[in-house]
Amino acid sequence: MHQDADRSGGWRAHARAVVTMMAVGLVFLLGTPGLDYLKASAYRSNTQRREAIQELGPVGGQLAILAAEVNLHLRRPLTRKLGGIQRVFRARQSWHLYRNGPGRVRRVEVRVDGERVYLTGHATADWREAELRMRRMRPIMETTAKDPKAKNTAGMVRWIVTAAREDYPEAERVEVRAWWGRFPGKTLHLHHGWTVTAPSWEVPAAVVQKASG
Amino acid sequence: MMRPWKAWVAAVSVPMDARILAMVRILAASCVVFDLARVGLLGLADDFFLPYVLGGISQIHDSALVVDVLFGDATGPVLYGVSLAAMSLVALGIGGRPVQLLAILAYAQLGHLNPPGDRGVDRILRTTLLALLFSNAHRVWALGPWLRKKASPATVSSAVPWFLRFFLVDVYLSAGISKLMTTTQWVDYQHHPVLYRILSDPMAGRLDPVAAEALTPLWNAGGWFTIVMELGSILIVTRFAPWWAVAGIGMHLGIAATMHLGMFSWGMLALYPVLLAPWLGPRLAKLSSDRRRPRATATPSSTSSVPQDSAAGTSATRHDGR
Repeated sequence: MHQDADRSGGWRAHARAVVTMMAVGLVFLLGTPGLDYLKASAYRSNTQRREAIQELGPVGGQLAILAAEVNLHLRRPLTRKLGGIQRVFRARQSWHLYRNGPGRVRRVEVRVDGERVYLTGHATADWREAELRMRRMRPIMETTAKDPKAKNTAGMVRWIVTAAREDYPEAERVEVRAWWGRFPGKTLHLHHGWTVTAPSWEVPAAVVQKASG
Repeated sequence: MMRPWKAWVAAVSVPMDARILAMVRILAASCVVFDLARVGLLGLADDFFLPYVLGGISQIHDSALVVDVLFGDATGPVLYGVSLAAMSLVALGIGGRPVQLLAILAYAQLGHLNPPGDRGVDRILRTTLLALLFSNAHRVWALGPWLRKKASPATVSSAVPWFLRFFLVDVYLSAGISKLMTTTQWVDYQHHPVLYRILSDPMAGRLDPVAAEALTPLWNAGGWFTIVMELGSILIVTRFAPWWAVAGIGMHLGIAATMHLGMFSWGMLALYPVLLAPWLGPRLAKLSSDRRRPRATATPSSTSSVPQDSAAGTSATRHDGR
């Protein structure tokens, strides 16, 4: 009986329904599919709007412009007011997971005294692969392969050098090199790298080069 | 106008087998526990969770990191230890809501300390555990209440499961729409499809890009399947949710087999009991009734997703399978 009353509309049931709907609404407001990926500057200028109409047709273009307006003047201000709670729980509701993959094949190579011990994805040159492949390490490895000036590359290279010195105590030279190429990656070229040597073992700035490899 | 509202009220008030949400709690917390334990086993805890000046890798920290004021140089080790311990307790069902809240907050601070290592799946799991705080999931299949000989609820309301279903729609739909907003290559027929590039990217994929190139039509079809799945995630809030979930399980197992993404697939699948509830509920109920009575006299399986003996969302019956 209690269950039937609850389901047909007791005040508890209505309160539960309201609260659940508000929670769902908040999640969709903070991470509105499509809109949360739209920049504030999207479709602002007349040129952008003309291009949108040309590209998406009159109806599609106007809808895109309307969506951008709603995003800028309604969703984003509300998000700023209500979104603070996300930081407390580090639960930002924005879900552009795995969009398009990389445009280039990139591999990181580690050489100790000239001998290759690691190459990303290599079957045998797999020194410390478990660590270098670890999901928390991978984004920094990707950055190291992609951007020689990125903030975390110094820490990544330092970690590689420290680990190499542990595993190869006699080593005098550790090289970390980033190889780039077009898919499928039959030919890669050296894009940038770091050479760290004894006795100081200090990590220098990356040397960017484009020699054939 | 009133009919949809009544339908919504009825939907969120339907009692659901509490063990389904307990499964989500256990799986979600276990993913974090195994991930953090792996960090420890690989000896990487200091590397990830100490600041650069103290020997850590990352020089990037989020300004929302506040507990460093309390713990100073020991912030990383303290947060790592508290997160691992509290998440283990959540999985075991000890400490109830206070421990679960502590686990979420500590794990959030750990993410603020090491933003590059805190990925989408971590945010998904924190949101999920946060939602579960508003259910009785912490009292079912839980060691704490069992040790104190406290009855666990047989059912919970469907409010939190409905929230989680809409949450998953948001996650998948956003992923699908943002893919199409950036490029049409996902649905084009082309030589190097996006899925091929993702799965054979040496940094994250397990496939060799040269060898995988021969299977281009497969990657094109896989790309279309991904988009159909993500845009079709709206089915999650319909009665077709379990069927969508079967395809989703296939998709995530495929991701786990072809990419080095750590706990991503397992973290996503941790939420799937909610989608499979219409199938899981009757099986769990049958399991309970089979254990209560001798096999020869067991009744045919129920078609309800609610245990036979539960009267309402407030019932407090101890499960035999404790």
